[in-house]
Amino acid sequence: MKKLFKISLLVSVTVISFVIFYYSLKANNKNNPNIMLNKPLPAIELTSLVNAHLKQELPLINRDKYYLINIWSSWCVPCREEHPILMKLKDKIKIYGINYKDKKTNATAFLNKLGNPFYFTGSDKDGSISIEIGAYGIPETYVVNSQGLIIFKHVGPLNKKIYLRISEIIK
Amino acid sequence: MISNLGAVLLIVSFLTTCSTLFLYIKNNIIQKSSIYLQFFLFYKVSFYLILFSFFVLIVCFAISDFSIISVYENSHTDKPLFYKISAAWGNHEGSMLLFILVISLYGILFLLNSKNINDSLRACTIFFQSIIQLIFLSFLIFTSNPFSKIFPVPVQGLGLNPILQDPLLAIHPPFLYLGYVGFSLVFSLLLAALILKQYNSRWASIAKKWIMLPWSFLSFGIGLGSFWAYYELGWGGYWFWDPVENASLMPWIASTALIHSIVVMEKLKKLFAWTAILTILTFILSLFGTFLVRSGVLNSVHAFANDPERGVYILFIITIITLGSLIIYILKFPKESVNNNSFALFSRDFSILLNNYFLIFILTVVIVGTTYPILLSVFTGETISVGPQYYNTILAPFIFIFLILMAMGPLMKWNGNSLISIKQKIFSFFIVSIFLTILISLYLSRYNFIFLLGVLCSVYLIVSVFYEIVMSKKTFFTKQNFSRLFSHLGFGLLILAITLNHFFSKEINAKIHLGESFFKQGIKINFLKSESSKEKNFEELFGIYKITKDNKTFILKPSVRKYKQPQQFTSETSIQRDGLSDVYIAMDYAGDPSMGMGVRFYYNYFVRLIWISFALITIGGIVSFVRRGNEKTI
Repeated sequence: MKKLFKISLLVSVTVISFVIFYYSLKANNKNNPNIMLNKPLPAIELTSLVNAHLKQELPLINRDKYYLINIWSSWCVPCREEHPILMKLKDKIKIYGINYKDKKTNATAFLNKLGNPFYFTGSDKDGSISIEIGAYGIPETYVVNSQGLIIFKHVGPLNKKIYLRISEIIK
Repeated sequence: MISNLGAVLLIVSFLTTCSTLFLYIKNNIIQKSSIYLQFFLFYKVSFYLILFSFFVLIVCFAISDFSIISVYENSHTDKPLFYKISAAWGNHEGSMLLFILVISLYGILFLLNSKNINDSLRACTIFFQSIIQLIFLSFLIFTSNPFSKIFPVPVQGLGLNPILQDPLLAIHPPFLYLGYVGFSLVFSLLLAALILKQYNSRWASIAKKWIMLPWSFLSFGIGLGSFWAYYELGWGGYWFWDPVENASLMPWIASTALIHSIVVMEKLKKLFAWTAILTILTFILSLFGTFLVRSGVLNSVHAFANDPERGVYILFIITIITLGSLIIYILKFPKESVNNNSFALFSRDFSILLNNYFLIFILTVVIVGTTYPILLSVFTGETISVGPQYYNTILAPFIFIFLILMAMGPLMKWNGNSLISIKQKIFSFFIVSIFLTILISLYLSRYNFIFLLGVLCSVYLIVSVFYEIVMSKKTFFTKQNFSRLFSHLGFGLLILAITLNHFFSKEINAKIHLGESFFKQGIKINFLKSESSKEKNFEELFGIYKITKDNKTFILKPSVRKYKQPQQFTSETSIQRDGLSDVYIAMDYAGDPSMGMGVRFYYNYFVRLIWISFALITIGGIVSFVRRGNEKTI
């Protein structure tokens, strides 16, 4: 009996700790560097990928309720992977693309082949703009609100889960 | 091509481990045979397969084979070859393969060095070791295969996190693994002994050396990690009570307690249950450490390889291993060994028991400090972090008493019950250390109570160790406690160094323009000039500073590096020696040097003594292992 008691005590303690740590994994899903999260987007000026005279300044205050910033490159394999999701998102929200350290010809070929989800594509030849907004690696996606605040950030390729979360946020 | 070879090797080693287990179950459990040749042979083959696949992974990294995801994500052609190779275990997948390699390596080492032990115990130990190996192999193959392919093959990789591009950090994880993964062996040995009813004092003398070896590696690994944080992170300190540092400290404390309790078990046939619990606890804390580092529950400088999905698997593995081992313990623990657990107040065994209580208290404090933020965030969603203040405040007074115990314990006799014979020694050590403490405090003119207490207690331990060395100089190299003297001396010096460092270090933060100087706390910092240079994988901006302190001048050259792939800034510190102390300076990331550079200056008092004491502690462990390795009698 004593052994049985010990074992059941042990099993319950272990199971409880398992559950607690299991929830800690779910609760603490901060596997991305969130340095810029909930901070205002720094002022940046994008130069269009196709036309060097075309400029776009960000953040846009009080224009759209939400907009998306996506950092991508034609040589980046996970970017190719997330591209269909961006194509799906483009009808719901304006997407500003930042083309990171890329060749113009490769980038345009990439968009011609897979479709262009971007409302505006800025070129970031030396990667300085991406660093300014706190990018860690590409692809990276930011949701910015009308006040210019970064309210969501995802490092790595978008997937279905993130897609649903973004749709939830911008609803 | 070669990457396919690696994947195949992994799967074959998985199958071999399965058949190893199968062989044991079929021949030795069902048919009750006592011939283990085939079983041992299969285990050896599985080891070589794992070794070979690790080798293949290193080759893939060395030749930058970007068709493999983990190479693509963690390497880059612009990187020096050394870092290409170290990137092989600088990422989650590769490091898990190293983890398995270490499990298997310990199995092989045990197999080769245990010919004097009966075959059934050897085989059963290897059986449990293979189970652990199999669990982690399946984790590796199914959730984080290092040879996963990517298509189309990228032309260039993403690069290794620049703060990991450091020679020390390249060797730091292997040593840590040799440390805490190594505890798997004594864990298997325990389970085997419990099952075979061979859990007795003879077991303790076999097991001790298999605790000493990983313990030494772990001590060394923690020392290395601390040293890396000191000069690479640029925060001026050597220990931050960061949860990941605690992850390696927890098994260290548990195993230190184990080393002490197993001696009592070996010599006096006491503390059987306690030793078994500590053995299990040590290994489980090692796994728990892996969980903390690898799963992403923590936010810390080390949390570069996070993935909550994997965390669930590791958590599951820990749960299974904990339950399995403790159930074996409850069912199989020999009853007859419980009767002899009386301790006399002034005996060496009782002081070891006290030492164990203290270590467990320290361990509890560390565990609470590490897990409390996690638990709080589960229950309330609040995020907090527990800082050094908590640990220092709670632990300091106990460490001081602990030091006194460490000095007095070894003077007492096993099973003795009197202080009379050693009263004189205790008293004279006390006089000598008070005298030395007064000298030190007069010399440094500091009379803070905590400072005096810290110095007094650590000097007390150091004095007692020196007394033992002087008194036993003839038999010094043959005597049993040679290794203990080293480790205890190291620990005494460590606490002394930490106390001195805590009270006499200086920190200055300033923004200094080019050509100007800054004066504070008797230290003058002069920003002489700046230079820049270009390397293969980064650009570097140097600042040259002249430091004047107590009529001594130091020229220091810290820098800021801008890495290309991935784009990231790192700050390289510049350190110069001043006796056992360090003059230490780091620059902040800034754009134009003519606008003035932010610098953090530290004068780290007696910090070098900390590294020396880490080395002494490690040497103590290695000596013990080597000496026990040569004993043919067990």
